[in-house]
Amino acid sequence: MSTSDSNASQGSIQSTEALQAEAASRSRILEWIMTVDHKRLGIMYILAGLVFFVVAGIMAALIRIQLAVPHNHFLGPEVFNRMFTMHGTSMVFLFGMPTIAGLANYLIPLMVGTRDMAFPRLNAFGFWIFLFGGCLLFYSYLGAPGIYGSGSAPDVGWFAYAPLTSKVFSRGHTVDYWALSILLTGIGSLATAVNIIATVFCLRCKGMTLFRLPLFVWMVLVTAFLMVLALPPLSAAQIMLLLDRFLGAGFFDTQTGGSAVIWQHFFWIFGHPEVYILILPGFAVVSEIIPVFSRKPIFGYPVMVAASIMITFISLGVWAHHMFTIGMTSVGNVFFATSTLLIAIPTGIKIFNWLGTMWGGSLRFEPPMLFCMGFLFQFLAAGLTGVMLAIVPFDWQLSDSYFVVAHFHYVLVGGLLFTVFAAVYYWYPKVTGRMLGGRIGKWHFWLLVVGFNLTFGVQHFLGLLGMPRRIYTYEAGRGWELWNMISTIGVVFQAAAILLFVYNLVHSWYRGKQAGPDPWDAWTLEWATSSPPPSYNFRQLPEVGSRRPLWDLKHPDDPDWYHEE
Amino acid sequence: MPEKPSIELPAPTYWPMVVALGLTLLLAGLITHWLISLAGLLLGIRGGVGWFHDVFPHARHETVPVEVDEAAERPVHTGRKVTHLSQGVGGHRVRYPEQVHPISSGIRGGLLGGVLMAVMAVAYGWIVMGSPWWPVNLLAAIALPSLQTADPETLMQFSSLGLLLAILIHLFTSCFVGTLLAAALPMFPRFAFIWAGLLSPVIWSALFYATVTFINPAMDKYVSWPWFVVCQLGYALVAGYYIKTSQRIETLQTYPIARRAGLEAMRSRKEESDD
Amino acid sequence: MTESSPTTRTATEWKLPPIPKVGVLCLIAMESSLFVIFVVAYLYYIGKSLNGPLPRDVLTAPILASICLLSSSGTIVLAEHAFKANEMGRFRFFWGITWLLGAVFLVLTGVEWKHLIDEGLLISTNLFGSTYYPLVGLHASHVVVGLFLLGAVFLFSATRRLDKRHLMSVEVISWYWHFVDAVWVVVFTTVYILGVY
Repeated sequence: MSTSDSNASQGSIQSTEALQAEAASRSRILEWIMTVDHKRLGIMYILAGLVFFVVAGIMAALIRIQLAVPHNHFLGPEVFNRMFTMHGTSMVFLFGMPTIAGLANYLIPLMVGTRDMAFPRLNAFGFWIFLFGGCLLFYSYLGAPGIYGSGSAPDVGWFAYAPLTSKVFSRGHTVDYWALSILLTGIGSLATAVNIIATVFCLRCKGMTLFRLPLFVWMVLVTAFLMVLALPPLSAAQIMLLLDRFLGAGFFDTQTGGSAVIWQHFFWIFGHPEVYILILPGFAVVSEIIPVFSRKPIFGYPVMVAASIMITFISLGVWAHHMFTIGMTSVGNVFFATSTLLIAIPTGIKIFNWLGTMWGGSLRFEPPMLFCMGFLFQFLAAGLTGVMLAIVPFDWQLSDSYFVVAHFHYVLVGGLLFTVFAAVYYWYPKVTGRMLGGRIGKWHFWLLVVGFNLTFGVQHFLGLLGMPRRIYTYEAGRGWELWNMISTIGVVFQAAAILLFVYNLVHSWYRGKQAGPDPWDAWTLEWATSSPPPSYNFRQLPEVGSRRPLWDLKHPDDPDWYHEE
Repeated sequence: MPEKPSIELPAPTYWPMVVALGLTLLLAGLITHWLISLAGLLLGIRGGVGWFHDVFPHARHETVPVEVDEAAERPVHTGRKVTHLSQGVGGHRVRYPEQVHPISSGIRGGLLGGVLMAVMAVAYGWIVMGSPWWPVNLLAAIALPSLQTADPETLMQFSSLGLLLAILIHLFTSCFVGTLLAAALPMFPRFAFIWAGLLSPVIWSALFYATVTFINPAMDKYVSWPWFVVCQLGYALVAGYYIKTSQRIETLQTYPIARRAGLEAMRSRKEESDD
Repeated sequence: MTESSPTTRTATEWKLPPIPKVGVLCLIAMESSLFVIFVVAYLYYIGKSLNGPLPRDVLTAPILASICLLSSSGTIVLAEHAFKANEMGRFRFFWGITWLLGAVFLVLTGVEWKHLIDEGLLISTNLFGSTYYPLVGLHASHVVVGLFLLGAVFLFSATRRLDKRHLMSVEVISWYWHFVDAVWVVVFTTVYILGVY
C-alpha cells in the first residue's frame, strides 16, 4: 500500500515480522506507556485532567464548606491558604491545559485528515512531563515538612506574588514545589503547542486549505501560537524566582533594590494570554457543535477566523488590567483599559456568529448543544463583568474581591468547563464507540447550571458587599452570611452533577448505545472513520473540497463548493 | 509487500517517558536530595540516547495491518465533480432574513406614526396643560439650553425657534426609528408585530427614562410618563402596521455583487453557458 | 465567486511546509519569548544596583568572542552549501570550523566569568550580578546545546553515517545556530552597550 506515514516516510530499520512479534509481546499497560498514538495520548491527557479536576474540585468544596458560616473552624488559615493555592494551580495547569491538549491531540489529526501528530514522540514526552509535574506538585503534601509541619504544599496563591514568595516570607520549599512543577508542566504544554502548529501546517490532507480547516482546528491553532508566545515568560519568571530562592539573586527582592511589581508584570504577561489559551479551545468546541446541532453551516466563517486572530494579538497587550490597584501612570491605566475593552469586540463578534448560526436552524437539544447554550449565556455574563472590571475606578473598588472571583469563575467554569462537558458528550461516541446517556446528560446539565449559578452568581453580590477573596473566615453581621450559605448550597448541586457525569462515563463505557461512525450526522472528517478510529485513522487519506467534507459526501448533488469563496 | 494491506505508523517507544521522568527527578532533587537529581540526570541521559536511536538515522516505524471494514469507514474523496446551484435559489444555505421590508416603507411608516404622535402630544398639552406649545417646547429643550432651565410659564409660551427645532427633531427621530423598525421587523422569529408595536416602544421608553436626565432635564422634570408611553405606543403601532403591510423584497444574497448592484452587463460566464 | 471549476483547484499540486522547519521556527519563537523577559529584566535593573561592582568598573566588551561567534554564522552557511553540493570533505571542514569558533566563544565567556568572580561579582552580590549571569548564562547554555548538536553532526559525518537525506536536519541545526548568534547581538547590545553607558 502506498499510503505511508508522511511525517517520516523513510523505511523502517527493523523487519516487519520482528516488529510485529515485538508488538504482540507487549502487555496492555506497557502498550499505553509506550504509545505515541495521538488518540491514546489524548485519552490519557483527558483522563489525567479529569482526576486532577476531581481532586481540585474537592478542594473547592472544602473551601466553600469553610466559608458557609461566619467564624468557622472547619479548616485552619494555613490549610485554607494551601487549599485555594492548590485549587487554582491545579485547575489551570493540571486540568485546563491538559484537557485542552487532550482534545487537540485526539481531534486535530482526525480533523485535518492525517495519521498522527507531526512529532509523535515529543507528544508522548509532553504528556508524561505534564503528568510527572502534576505528581510533583501534589507530592508537596507529603514532602519535607514545611513551616507548619504539614507538608510543603504551596500557599502563596496561584499567581505567587512577590515578596511573599521570597525566602524570608516563605520558608521551606512550598514556593519551590510550585515553581518547579509548573515549570515542568509548562514544558509539556510547549511541546503540545509546537506539535499542534506543525501538524496543522504540515500534515493537512489533500485539498484541506487553511480556509477549509474546521473552526476547531483554527482556534486551537491560534491557541497554540498564544502558548508559544505566552508560556515562556512564565517559565522565565519562575527561573528568576528559583534563582532568587536558591542562589540569592535579587530579581524580586526589594532588599537589594529589586522590584516586586515586575513579578506581577512578568506573571500577567503570561497570565492574561493564559485566560485566552483556556477559553479559545472552548470557543473551538462551541464552533463545531453549534452548527451540527443547528443543522446549518457556521455563520461567518472568515470573520470567526479573523476574530480569533484578533483576540490572540490583543490578548498579548492587556496584562496590566490585573494590576490597576498597584498604582500605574494614568497613561498605563488608559492603555490597558482600552485594550481590554477592545478585546470585547472580537469576542462579541463570535457570540453573534454563534447566535446567527442557531438562528433559523432546526435545533436539537442534545446534551452537547445544551452545554453550548449554557456556555453562551454564562460566558456572556463573564464578558460583561470583564468589561466592568476593565473600567479602572470600578476595578479599584472591586479588585481582589469576590466580584473578581465570580467573574473568572464565570469565564473558566461557565465558559471553559461547560464547553469541556459539551466536547465530552459530543466526541465520547467517537472515542469509545458508545453514546453517553442522554437522559443523565440532561440531568447533569441542569444540575450543573443551577449549582454553578447559585455558587458563583451570588459571589458578585458578595464582592459588591466588600468581601475580599482568599479570607479564610469572616465576622457575622456584615450581610455576607446569606450569600455565602447560598453559594455553598450550590456546591451540592454541582457535586451531584459531577457524580452523575462520572457515573455516566463509566456506565456508558460498558452499557452505552452503539454509536456507529457518525451518530450526530456531522460534517467534519473525524466522523468519516469508524468509532473508535483504527490506529491509522483513515485507511485511505481523505481528499476534501470544502469545509464540510462529509456534507459533500452525503449530498453529492448539493455540495458546499460553490458557496464558499 | 506483505499479503494483507498495511500502514506504517511511528513505532511505540518508552524513551520520551524516561526523559520526562529523568527531568522531573532532576528538578525534584533540588527540593529533596541531590541523589535524586543524580538519578534523574542519569535517567535523562539514558532516555535521550534511546530517543535518539529511535529517530536516527531514520525514524522507526511499525507496520499496522489494515482491517477492512467497509461499513464503518468509507474513503473520503470529495470534490471531483460538482453541480452548481442556480443563482437565486438559496435553499438551506440562505441567511435569515430572506426577505426584508424596503427602507422607504420604514421612512413612510415613521412619518405616519410621527404625525399621530405629534397630534396626541399636542392634544395632551392643549387639553391637560392648557397650551399646545407645552410638548413642543419640552422636545425642543434637547437642543435649546435656554428652555432646559425655563419655568413652566415660559414653556407654555409660543417660541418660533422652539417650534422649528421641535419639528426637525421630531421628523428626524420618526424617520430614524421607522427605518430601524423596518430593518428589525423581518428578524424577529415570530409575532413580529407584537415585538415591534408593543414591546419595542416600552423598551425604548425605559431607555429614555433612564437617560433623559442627562440629555433633557426639562423633560425629565415636567413630562407625564404614562402619556409619554401611550404616545410611543401609538407611534409604534401605526409605523409597525404600515411597515408590516408593505411589499417585502428579496435580499438577493445568493446573487453576485454585480447583480445586486444592478449591473446587467456584468453577467457571469456561468449564466451565459446556461442560456 | 470565481468561476473556475473546483476540480482544477484541487488538481493543482498539494504542497505543505516541511515539519522540521516549522518545528524549529516554533522553537525559535518560544526561545525569543524567553529571552525577551530576561533582556527586559536586565534593562529594567540597569543602574539600580545598590552596591558595586558596577558594569562600567568590571565589564569589558568581549570583541574577540563576538567576532568568533558571528563569523561562525558565515562558516555554517558555507558548510551548508558544501552539503547541498554533496562535497562532504568541504562540508566537514567548514562545519568543524564552526564548531571551533563556537567553542572559542564559550571558553572566552568562561574566562570573562572567572575575571568577574575574581572582581567579587556573584549572582547574589547586587542586581547587576543577579541579571548579568542569568542572561549571559542562558545564552551560553544555548551555545552549549548548539555545540552539542554541531558536534554530533560532525561525528556522524566523520563516520560516514550522514548522507543527502539528512539535509533537513543539517539545515534545521544551522537555523538554530543563526538564532543563537542573533540572540548574542541582542545580549551584547543590552549588556555591553546599553548597560555600560
